[in-house]
Amino acid sequence: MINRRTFLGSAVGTSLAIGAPAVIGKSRPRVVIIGGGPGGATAARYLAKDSKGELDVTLIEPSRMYYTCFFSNLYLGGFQSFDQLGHSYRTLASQYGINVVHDWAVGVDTDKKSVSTASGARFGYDKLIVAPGIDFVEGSVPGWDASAQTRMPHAYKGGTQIALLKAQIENMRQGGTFLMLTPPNPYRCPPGPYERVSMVAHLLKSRNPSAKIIVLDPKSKFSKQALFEEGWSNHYQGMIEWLPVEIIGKVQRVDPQAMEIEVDGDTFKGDVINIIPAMKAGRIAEMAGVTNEAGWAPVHAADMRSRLQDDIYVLGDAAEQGDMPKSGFSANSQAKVCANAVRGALTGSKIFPARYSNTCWSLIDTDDGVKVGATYTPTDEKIATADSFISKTGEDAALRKKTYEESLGWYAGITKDIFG
Amino acid sequence: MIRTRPRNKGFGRVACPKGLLRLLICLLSGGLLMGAFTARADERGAQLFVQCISCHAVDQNDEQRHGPPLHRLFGRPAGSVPGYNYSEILRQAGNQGLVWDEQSLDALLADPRGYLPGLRMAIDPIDEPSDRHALISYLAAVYADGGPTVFVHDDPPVPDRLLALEGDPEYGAYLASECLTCHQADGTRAGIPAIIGWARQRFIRVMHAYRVKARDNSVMQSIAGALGDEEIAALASYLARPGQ
Repeated sequence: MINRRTFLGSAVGTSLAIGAPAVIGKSRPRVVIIGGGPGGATAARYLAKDSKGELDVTLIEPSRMYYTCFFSNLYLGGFQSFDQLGHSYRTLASQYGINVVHDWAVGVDTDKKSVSTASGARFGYDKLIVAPGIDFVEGSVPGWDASAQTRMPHAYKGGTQIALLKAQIENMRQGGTFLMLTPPNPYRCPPGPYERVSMVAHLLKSRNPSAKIIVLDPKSKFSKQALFEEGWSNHYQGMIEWLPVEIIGKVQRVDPQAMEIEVDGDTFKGDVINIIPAMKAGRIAEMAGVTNEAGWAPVHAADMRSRLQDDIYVLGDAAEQGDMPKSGFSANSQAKVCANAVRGALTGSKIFPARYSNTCWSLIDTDDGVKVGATYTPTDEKIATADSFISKTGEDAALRKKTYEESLGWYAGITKDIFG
Repeated sequence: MIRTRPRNKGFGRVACPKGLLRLLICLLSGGLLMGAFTARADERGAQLFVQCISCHAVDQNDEQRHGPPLHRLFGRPAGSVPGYNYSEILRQAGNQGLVWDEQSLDALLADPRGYLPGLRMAIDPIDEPSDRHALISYLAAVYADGGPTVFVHDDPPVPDRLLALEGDPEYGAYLASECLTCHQADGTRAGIPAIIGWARQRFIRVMHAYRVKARDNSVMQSIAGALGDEEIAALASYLARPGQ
């Protein structure tokens, strides 16, 4: 039976199909991106911007505001406000026409080429970019799991955890002990734990000068070690004790109730305890079938394409790519190479050779900034370091201040580059 | 490295600018006790001035930049140098009689966008009155007499083949994405200079200087070291295009 309403409906449908064959007849290639951090959001923005509407770009990210993990230590030290770390996805949606979906990606069907989300939606893709950051390896710290993260925060994913850790440090009893367990390699932001130690020391120096900081490290050495150790002795004499694996051996047990960490032959008590467990690629990477036994996602160096699945790319911390450190800068750098390659594959645009770079700035105390960085080139095996640099010990105060100011400029620049 | 070198190095050679400022500067430099203060203010002014010239040409002999040259600034109607793509508000203000002098420059530097809403000039307000004073005094002093300040760039000469190379702007756009991690696309300068709108030759000269490590920022040495001639030329032609 044909009534007026169905007739009208089909008439509208017909006129649309005739009026806009480019849209209806030939749908645009679809790129779905999981994860709205420096990797995913940068890729989304460059794909949408450079394809000028030729691509259908969907960004799936559960949070409405992204709180950067980078610079969160500066918030701990009182150099940045919490709000300064937060960035919204509004511009990506309104100005770049990206379909920003605030939902959890919970599954990837590589046969049907679709991503399913917690709310039950499905998003078909021609190319999928997976950029979920890190998750913690269950059981890597005996006695600690996600349920202990209120008493012993990890504060290593940005957002509320870092605010919690700061509140705990500010409320620590006079003369108390801040205890930190650092992660084994590889992990997100290699200088991060040690910059955090510096920023906590800066905070305590004025509020709680008799407090102590003890760092339990499952490693023998760490990033920018000479620079940090020099800074700690210059600014925080006698406050910080770093205990490497040679001294502590293995972590036997963490007790969130007793606020203790037991290592080989010794037990450390803390008033505030920061546990940073071992890391692996964010869980969705595993579900997408792009991770290896080590828990990371191996990729081709030329374009960040997965070595294990067709039509899937992996960016940032989750990727196992070679020499680049897991950092927001690296993820942003990789995203632009990947966006160029994905757009080329889907629209026929020119694909230019990969170029990668990274710099990690760290703040040791007021106006005492240091940096380490490199440029990289792709080889068949990996992304390989081409040239590297690092701040030197004994640099003058003016240069250190300039380095710190440079890091502020970088933060302003990269957050605009990521979020528009 | 950029350093400023006044053309006339003679002691006490600084001529006093007009008006209130002249009075102030003459008074200050007149007192022995105030001598140290003036020197400090000069130094501060020169320091702040370096930021101006990341966008403004120093004089008519300087290479063309994003912003109009700063010589003959005092007494000039706003938005009046031919050939510059001024903000609409700046042109209007000039037509309505805004002339650059100590007062108007002070108001501009204190709150650029409050003073001229819609102004494109991407600078942060200079909150400290003494900083604004130091900068304006410096501008007045170096441009007042004996011709404009000469800027000496210690950059090594660029090989002719690099200067002559025609760059591919599409490649440049891709390469520039690496720059935009730190150098902001809208030309805002914050701890890191703006590079958008740089004249082609200037960009090539600076990148060449970093590549041969004649300039000393380690990040830039590394980035420039990874760029071949073709890449530098492509970037130069992309960044120089209006609207980039």
